[in-house]
Amino acid sequence: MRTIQDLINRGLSAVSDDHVFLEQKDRKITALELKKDIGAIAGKLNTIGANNGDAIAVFAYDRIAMIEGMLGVLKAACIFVPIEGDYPPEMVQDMLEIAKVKYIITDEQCHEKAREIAGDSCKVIKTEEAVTGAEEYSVGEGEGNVYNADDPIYVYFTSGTTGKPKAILGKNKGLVHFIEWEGRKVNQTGINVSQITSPCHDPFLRDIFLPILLSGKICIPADQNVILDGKRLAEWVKEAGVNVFHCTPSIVNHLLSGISGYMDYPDLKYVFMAGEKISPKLLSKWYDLTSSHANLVSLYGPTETTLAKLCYDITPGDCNTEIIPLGKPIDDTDVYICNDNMEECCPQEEGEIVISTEYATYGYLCNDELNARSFAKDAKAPGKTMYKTGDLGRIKPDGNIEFLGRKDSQVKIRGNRVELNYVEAKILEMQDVKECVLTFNDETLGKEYIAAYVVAGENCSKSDIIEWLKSKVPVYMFPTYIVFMDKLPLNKNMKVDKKSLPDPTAGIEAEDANVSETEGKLIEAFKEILDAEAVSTSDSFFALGGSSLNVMTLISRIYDDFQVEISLAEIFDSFSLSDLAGVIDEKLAADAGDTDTDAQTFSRSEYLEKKNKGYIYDVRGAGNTTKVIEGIVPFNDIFYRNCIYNSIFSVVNYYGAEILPILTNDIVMYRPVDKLTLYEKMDFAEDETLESVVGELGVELKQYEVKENVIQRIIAAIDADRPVIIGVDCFYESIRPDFYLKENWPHNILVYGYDNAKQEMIVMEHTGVNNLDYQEQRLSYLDLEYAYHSNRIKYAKTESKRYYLECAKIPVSAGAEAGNCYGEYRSRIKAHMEDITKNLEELPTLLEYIEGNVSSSERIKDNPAWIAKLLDAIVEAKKAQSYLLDHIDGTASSEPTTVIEAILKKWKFIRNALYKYLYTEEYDSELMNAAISGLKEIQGLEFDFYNSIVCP
Amino acid sequence: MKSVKEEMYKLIVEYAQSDEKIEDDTELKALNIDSLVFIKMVVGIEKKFGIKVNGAMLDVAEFEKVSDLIEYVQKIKGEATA
Repeated sequence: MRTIQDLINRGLSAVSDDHVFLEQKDRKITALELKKDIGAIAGKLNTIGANNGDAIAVFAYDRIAMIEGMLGVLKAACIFVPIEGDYPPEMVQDMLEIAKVKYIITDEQCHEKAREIAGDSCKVIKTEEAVTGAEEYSVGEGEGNVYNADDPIYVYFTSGTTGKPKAILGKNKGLVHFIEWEGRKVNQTGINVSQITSPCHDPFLRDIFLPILLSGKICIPADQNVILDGKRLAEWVKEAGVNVFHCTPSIVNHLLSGISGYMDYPDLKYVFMAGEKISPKLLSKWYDLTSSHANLVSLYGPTETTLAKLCYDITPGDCNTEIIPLGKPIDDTDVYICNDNMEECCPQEEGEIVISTEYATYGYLCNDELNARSFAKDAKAPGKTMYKTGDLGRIKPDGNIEFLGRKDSQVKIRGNRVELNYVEAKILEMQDVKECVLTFNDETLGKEYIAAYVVAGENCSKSDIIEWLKSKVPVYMFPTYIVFMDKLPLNKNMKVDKKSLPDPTAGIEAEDANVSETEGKLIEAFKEILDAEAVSTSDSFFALGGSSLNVMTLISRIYDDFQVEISLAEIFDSFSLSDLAGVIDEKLAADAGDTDTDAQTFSRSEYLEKKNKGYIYDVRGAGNTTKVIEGIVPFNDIFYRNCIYNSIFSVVNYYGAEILPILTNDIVMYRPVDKLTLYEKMDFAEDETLESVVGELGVELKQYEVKENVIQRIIAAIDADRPVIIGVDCFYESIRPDFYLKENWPHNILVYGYDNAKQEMIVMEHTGVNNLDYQEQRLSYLDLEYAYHSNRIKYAKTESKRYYLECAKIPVSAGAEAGNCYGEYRSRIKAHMEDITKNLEELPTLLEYIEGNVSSSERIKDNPAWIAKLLDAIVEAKKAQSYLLDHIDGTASSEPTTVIEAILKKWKFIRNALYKYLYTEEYDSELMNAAISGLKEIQGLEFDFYNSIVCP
Repeated sequence: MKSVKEEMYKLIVEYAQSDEKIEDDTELKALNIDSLVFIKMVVGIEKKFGIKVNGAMLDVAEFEKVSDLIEYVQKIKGEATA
């Protein structure tokens, strides 16, 4: 069996010396530098007397120092103990003690703190010192150390039940086993892997070792604020070119909250989510907001059994299920569902999830009693260790395991394991506190909270408890609510009766009627962001459940409400809501007379104000009072790809050109099942860009960046007979009741006329919510201006988008005269025949997927709406192909036309049958069987279709 | 008892998404009856007349004019065309 040190050595020598392994903004560490640095650290450790198997803590804020420190410790055959720079001193002290740490490696920033905490108990070395003295210590580069697959190699902590953290001792081959499994799963070298996990959680290890194994790169955000700010996170993942994203579902949710409209992630291949329940709602949001081809994967496994041991590949269909399963065991792993006597439960019966693997950790350090309770030898599989997770679950008929809750008081707050007894014990350590009990509420996803019920002396206040905890536990363990009681209610067994404790949210009614305007607005903001019932001016954002994840939401909300920018630090420093209001008021006073910025000029409140006042645009430059470019008509024969295409069809027809070359430029392909998203359901392999195809047709699409006077600009274009296709945010389109003032959505419309008297533009827009047909409509100047700028500001910054296109007639270049259109189409298909064949060979998987989803009155209930959307997209694409063959000149025979029509009919048949089911909710098996047998003929017909074109 | 034709006129009015006057040679397209509205309408027709429309005929493209649809329903209802 390989050791992790083998894996590191091979990984570092598999690439050239200048291969960049670590990247954090402008800091880049190459393979050569990394080899040198970890050699130097290992050398330094060996020189000062660290022996194989000694525990070495790496205590650092700086992520690169943490990673290099870890690799150096492993190279020195020592045990790695990560401690994050911002951990409270008392906790650090406990950690050092429990893990029996002998040496501490720190970055510059933690050096003093480490020396203070450690005192004389262990020696403190700065990474920098080791690395700069490299020449001296690089002797042997830590060689001479002996590595074994059974070595203990790291210590990770989880909160214990008694007030002391529990230390888990990792096994060398356990780590290697998981990393190699993940390597096979991703199966691609040279990949970029995100590193946003805290070093103090074991998933950190996959962030580092996966890219080392796969000759990839570890991508680290410039600073923690990138992770805290959903928008920056969403952009960072794209800019850094992340291929494999390791995260919690909360982080995904946070990232999605930062996307306005939608975001394309062309590089993203895998998103591995672990640490929390994944909700179907989150998945729908993902498939709605990103046009990513990424595979979403759920991983499950406690630290005790090394990283993850269950895996589930998520599909878009999971958006419609109730519970996303934990999945099935990975290689060399068994999972049993057991009752309290450790007997296996019947299939589908609820029981404790027990994981059996030889790649588990060594269990808890110095805690034999707990080890005996949690671990056991697997009698069925010699050599394997079983771990009782304390999680409840069941095995579903399809073999997937489902999570059903916890057995004990351990809870998860936004992905972090918290042992309520641990926090309870910490509060009880306070002198004034006599009794304390904690409860946990997770009724609302993402708004989980801990409430503390405390019996204490008169002098003990809420803020005393918070202050006390600050030095003991990380912020995520803080109770959201603290309720003081005279005594705790007891049940018949003389235990605290948790059920009769009061609702912690009920106690906090607004105590003060005298709230200022700023405070009032802030109270509303807190309530909405934290979903809190009652908020008073003395509450602090964090004590009410605010977390690093939603603090950015607060910052942007404050910006929206007050047009004032607040820093993270200012929120952290404001203990109460009224403090924060004070900060805002000061800024407001200082800011009077600020400059115009895009966002300020085009805010929703300004829109509403102008709308109420009946704002009139100055259009003195217009050539006419009203003008419509005559002859532009809606194009509704087919709906093709997206709204830009359909707007362009109208324009191309208006200029007297054919739209067919736009269609023949693309080869319509089916999308493999595992690549389907709510946003993309068909593929269109295009040879040339849309602009260049349209250009050859004699229509110029000129993109401008119009930042002001957009109404006047459009009027001038229309005066010159140039229609304009602009990007709009449906949020401001009063003619779109489905989105208006409710939801942002990027969209495109064609503008081809104006009416200054009514202050309205003549546009081509969809007729209704569920109807893609276009017709002439009128949109007010005000709506259009705000819709345009909102789209431009929100979506244009992240991506170069076609948001203002002026169309003009240009001469057709010589030689590009419309030749034999069919001939060109045919040669394009010939050139792509290999891809087409490959695509059609994969088609049965898609067909079987669809068949499976409609095959019985039971199965059809799983995903009918999603399958209907999928079939709609296929039918639209097939209609376009049929339209093309019907209208193209120069076809040699009628066969392709006949065949594509037959294919279209089969697709329409099943689509219509499914809609009939949706409208009647009656499963007509005769109808569905006919539809399914039609489905089975499609692959053959598709081959016939292409063959009849290529070799008639 | 009302004739199939009269009942059908009433049904079509119910599902049409336009103010266009409905006559025998009015095109279904002009009434803004798209493929999905059409399926809803067929469900209504099936209930009203207690008949079953063939799966292949669930496609609005199979019928051009109001009269085509009425004739089809009369045919399966077994009522001779006037």
